Amino acid sequence: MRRNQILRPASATLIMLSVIFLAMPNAQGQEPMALGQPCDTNVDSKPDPAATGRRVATPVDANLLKGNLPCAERVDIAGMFGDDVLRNLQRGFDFYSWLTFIALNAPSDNSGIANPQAQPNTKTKWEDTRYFIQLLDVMRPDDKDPQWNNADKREMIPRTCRAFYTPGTMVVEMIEESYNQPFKTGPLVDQHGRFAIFDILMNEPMFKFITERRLHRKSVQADFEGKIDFPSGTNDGLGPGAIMLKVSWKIMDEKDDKSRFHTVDALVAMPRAHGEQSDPPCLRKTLGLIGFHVVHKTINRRQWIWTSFEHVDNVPEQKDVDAGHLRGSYNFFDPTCDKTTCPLNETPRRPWAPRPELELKYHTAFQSQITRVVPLTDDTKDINGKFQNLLKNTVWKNYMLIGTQWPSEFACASKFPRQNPPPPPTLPDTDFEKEPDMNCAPAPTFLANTTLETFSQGEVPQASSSCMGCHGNAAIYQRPRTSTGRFFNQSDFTFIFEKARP
Amino acid sequence: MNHGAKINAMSKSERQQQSPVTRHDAALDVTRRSVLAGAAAVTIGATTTPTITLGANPELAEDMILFVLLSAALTGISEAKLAPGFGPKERMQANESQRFMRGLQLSDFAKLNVGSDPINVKLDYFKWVNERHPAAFEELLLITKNSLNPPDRTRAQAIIAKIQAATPPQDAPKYLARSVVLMWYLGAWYDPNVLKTLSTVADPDIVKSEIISPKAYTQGWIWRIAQAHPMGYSDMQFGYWGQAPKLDLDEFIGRAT
Repeated sequence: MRRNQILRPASATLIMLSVIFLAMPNAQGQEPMALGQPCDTNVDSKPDPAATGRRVATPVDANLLKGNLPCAERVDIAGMFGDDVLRNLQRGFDFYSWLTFIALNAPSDNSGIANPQAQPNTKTKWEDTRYFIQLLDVMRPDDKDPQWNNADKREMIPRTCRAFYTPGTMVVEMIEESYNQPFKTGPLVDQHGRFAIFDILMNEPMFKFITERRLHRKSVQADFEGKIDFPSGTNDGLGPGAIMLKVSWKIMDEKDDKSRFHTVDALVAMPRAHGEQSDPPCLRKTLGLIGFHVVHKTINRRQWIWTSFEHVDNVPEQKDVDAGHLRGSYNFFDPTCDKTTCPLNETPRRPWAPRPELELKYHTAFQSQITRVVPLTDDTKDINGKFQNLLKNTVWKNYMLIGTQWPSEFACASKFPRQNPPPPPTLPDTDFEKEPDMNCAPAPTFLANTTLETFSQGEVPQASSSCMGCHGNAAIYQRPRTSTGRFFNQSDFTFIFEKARP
Repeated sequence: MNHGAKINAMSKSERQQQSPVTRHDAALDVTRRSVLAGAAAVTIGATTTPTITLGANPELAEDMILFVLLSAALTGISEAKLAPGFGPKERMQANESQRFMRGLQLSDFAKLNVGSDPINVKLDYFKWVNERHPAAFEELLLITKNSLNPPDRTRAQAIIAKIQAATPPQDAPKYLARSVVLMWYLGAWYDPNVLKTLSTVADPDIVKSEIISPKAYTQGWIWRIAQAHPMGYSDMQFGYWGQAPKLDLDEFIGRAT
């Protein structure tokens, strides 16, 4: 069967067989291990035995591949860079980010990310319903309540895909947020003319916080008197706390080298065309991972920690374009096209919505010509090299950390009560109302993933992409009220509540 | 000018002798500006001994610490608010940290972090002042250094008293101190010479100023104290305008030691 075609029911059998095969337990696999059990408490540097007071880098070796999740960051102002506290801390957070990446992308069978039998399409922990749930499985369109670890989602997915679905298959439902970038800045189109698509997931603590309060319903949000305060991760027994993911995918086709990407065979439910009565098509697509955000709330970083990874083939840095230091090809940049013909970092002309009949192909010949506006720091490149070398026998060597944004003003970021969950009364003292900087001085000030914040890269205050700067504005759906004087109820740095159904 | 240069040379020399903070080789601290200043002294001040001023150096931890302490004293805003991350390197309880900061000695500077602030507007401000009024700026840092731990009052009181005691014609630091206050609060530069001139005018006209940088525009402390924000830039929570102001100003600005 040719890939990327609209599915017909006859192909369901083949899919089922392949899914069953993929779901077979790995010979080296072990029992499922809860994320963060135990927590990974490795730190990025250690005392230098040769010099008192100095610190040296923790070796990036197989000891870091155990796959345990850091339940909270372990960073210190002391580090490899002497009195350069900001640099020491940034490296600590980048180290944390790589440990997190390794834990979440390890095979879901718990065989470890370096398992030599693992393939580029081996299911990761975050793709396993035991560990994470897709946002649209929480914010369900029907009257049924969402269920945790519901591997058989047949009744939950769009009707158009049900005939082709087998338990465990990833289903991506195309809504506007699946192809349009934040602030509706437009779609990203790859060098083969196909949409990049996006998805959001959350872990169990986050799921429980939402569903126990029934905040997956807009009507409940409207009357909600409490504060949104997701559980925070700690390394002392309370677990990893709330984690959310945002991922970006590239549609793989014959021209792509699939061995360079982590891939998943997914069903993509196309949106219904305007005025269309019949069911829209359901596509079977192989998706290649190109972007990976991890957002983690921890006890001392109540503005969350914002980690961002990308595929190394995505785009060149702008300075490399200026210097003519280009590789042969990129996912979202054509090195043979000049700036006049292929203007940099521009969106295509509208309309942007995918046409169901074009199977995620953009309706014109447009291809995004994207560069990385803010280069990676030398320190981040250095740590990337070390971890990529550690993962050299896996597909994960093709991914790189873009950066980690964290609240740098410690007193501000951790000044709230440390009880977790917060003590009564219902309104915990963990909101940031009237804080002069509710984000507690994010470091770095700006951070953008070229596949997820493509069109808001840069360093312009209030305009360029800052994880906290943007998400700090998130609120739940709430009617203006006078009894509490609160017009908006802050949603703890997440916009996911906007997807709640009535 | 010669007076300022002499003070500079003395203070720098003294600090190089006393400072426990690791310093660069003094020869490396000789900037083009300081050499030119020394050369100018040779040319113009034929009757005085020429001295090469080294000037304050934002790369030196000691100079930056003194600037932050000075700024906190002048503005009333805590050091850790002006320079996030500023404080003892060693982990301490809050009250212990406060005691340490209050009793700060020069020998404690090696135990201090100068901050881990990604915005780091203090560096912009230091350079701005140092490039325009190096002699008066160095004198302010010297006053701070000599007022670290007074026996009979707070550090801020001691620093302000010494600055206020300056009389013409050696009062340049006094007006520079006013410029520094305005700089932190407004993110704008009011030239100290203009401020001095206006100080004797009964009904002064509007004082000319310039915004120091886009970063400075967003970091003015007046906005935080007013619990507001400059036009076009806000780090406050969405919907903050529906909230009554907080009464506890310490939450916003802390307290200078």
